[in-house]
Amino acid sequence: MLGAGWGVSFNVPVPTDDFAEFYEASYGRVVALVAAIVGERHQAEDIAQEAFSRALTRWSRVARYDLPEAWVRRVALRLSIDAGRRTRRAALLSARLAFVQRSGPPRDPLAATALSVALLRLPLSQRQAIVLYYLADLPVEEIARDCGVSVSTVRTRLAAARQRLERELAESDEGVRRAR
Amino acid sequence: MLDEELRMGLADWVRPVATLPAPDIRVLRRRARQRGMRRAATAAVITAVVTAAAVGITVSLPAGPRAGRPVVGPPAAGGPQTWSAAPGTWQRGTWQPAGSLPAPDASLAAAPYFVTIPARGASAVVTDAFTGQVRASVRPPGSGQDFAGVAAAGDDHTFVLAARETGAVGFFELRLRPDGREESLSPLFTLPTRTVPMFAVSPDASLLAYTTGTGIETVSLAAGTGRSWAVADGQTFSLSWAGDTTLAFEWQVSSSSGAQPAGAGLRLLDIAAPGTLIRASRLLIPYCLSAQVCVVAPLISPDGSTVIATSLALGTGVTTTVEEYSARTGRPLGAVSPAVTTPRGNQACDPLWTDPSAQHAAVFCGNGFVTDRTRFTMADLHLPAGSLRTRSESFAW
Repeated sequence: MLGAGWGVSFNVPVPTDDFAEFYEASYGRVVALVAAIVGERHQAEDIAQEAFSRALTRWSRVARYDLPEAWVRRVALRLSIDAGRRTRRAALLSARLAFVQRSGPPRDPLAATALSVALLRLPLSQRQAIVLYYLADLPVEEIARDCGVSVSTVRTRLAAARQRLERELAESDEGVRRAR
Repeated sequence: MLDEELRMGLADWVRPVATLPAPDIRVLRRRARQRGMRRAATAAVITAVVTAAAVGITVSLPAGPRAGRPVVGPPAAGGPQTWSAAPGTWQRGTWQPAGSLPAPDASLAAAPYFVTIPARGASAVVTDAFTGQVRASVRPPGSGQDFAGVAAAGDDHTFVLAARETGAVGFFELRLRPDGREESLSPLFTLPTRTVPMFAVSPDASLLAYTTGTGIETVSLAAGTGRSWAVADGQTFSLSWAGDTTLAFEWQVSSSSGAQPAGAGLRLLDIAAPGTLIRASRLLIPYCLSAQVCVVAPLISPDGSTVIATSLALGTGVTTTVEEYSARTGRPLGAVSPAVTTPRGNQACDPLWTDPSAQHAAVFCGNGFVTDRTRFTMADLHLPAGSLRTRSESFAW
């Protein structure tokens, strides 16, 4: 038959699926997820591209997974943990964002909000849990798999993060009222 | 705070980045190569240390039998396969040989037309390199199709276009009239795949080669017969033909350590030779010449004398140069494009085209810059702005 190699692979479940199509469809979601965790657009793009690049070199294997995007997401999460450890960017960024809030509308696509400032003050593990649960809309079981921890640990992190966010946001509201 | 508020607040916050367009896929390929280089460098250091240690240990051991044959890579899967076109996939009689080919020392004036595929692939654009005038805009014949790749034969008037459609990729032969207008667009055959392969057409337009998930296939466009060249591991890239006998390609293997087998790199396939892809081909330039310098994206000149390829050197940044190599010995002959150093190699240059004997070369440097190493400049080529943003397969001359 014509195209024996393609013919063979065509009969195997999705081994030669189109990476470009997958990449274009899922890139925005992965960047947004990482951006919410690291709090910075360019670093998020860097991490997302690295994760997709790793998927590209293993595409024959990754394409066979039920959810290739979940594989990319897990790689991106690991990379964001590494990046967070290296730079401690969250702490620096929260200070910068506070300045941006005072000095007019930010030009960075990741504009600061009270919620984002509070989120970036959370410990990385809690931030990941919040982002995966509320932004990626993942069930706690999948978050546990992504983060390599137990389901109960994820629940604990979510509860702690919610408490802390509420406290931070309340303090932020109080600060605004006083300023007025 | 209510869960729904949290959900909406987060979504609103990251919405601007969620709609960012995905960068060119070449960026990912380049990252992968650089990662491979770093791992290869690490592996080389480890190997050197282990070898040094082993030498210290084995000097007192009796010498064993020497290997009779150098290792060229993992054993290939299966033997050579030949096949004929399946009914309904081959449009017999539409193919014609390319016109008379330029002499090996022909100037660029003998080949004025190049074809580009804009980002969306709605048409293939034929441009006169000397005037910048668009001579033709060729649309895919079927609704729902978009062009996704182009390769050029050696006569300057024959091109093969790949059109993507639902679940398949169709190949078409584009003929230009002497004035660069479209003469004909004829279907050749269809592959049942959603992945547009890398492909190259021989200078006389008699053979088409394309990558598959398991190696390379070569097809006689005249007869509709072909041959599958299987490889057990790794991927093949960057196909180009010298005459109708030799196919240059790049073979790399993904591994967690980054170490490449001894035969990885630029290889030359003799399509008349028996055996599988690795056995029927010879290594011309290893993937990495040293721990710091690797060679990728090769392109062989149609007369088979010269290979031009991108050299990536790791230092404080990534320095890329397009270099010329002897196709006989693999020795470097000189630089084709000036060195470009960037922190991540994002502006790496890739060779796009050579004339029959590699006197002239067109090089894409990531930002639309195309140069010729002897006489021509970017202005001479009149490359439409942004026309090469997608990948080098979107250009053929």
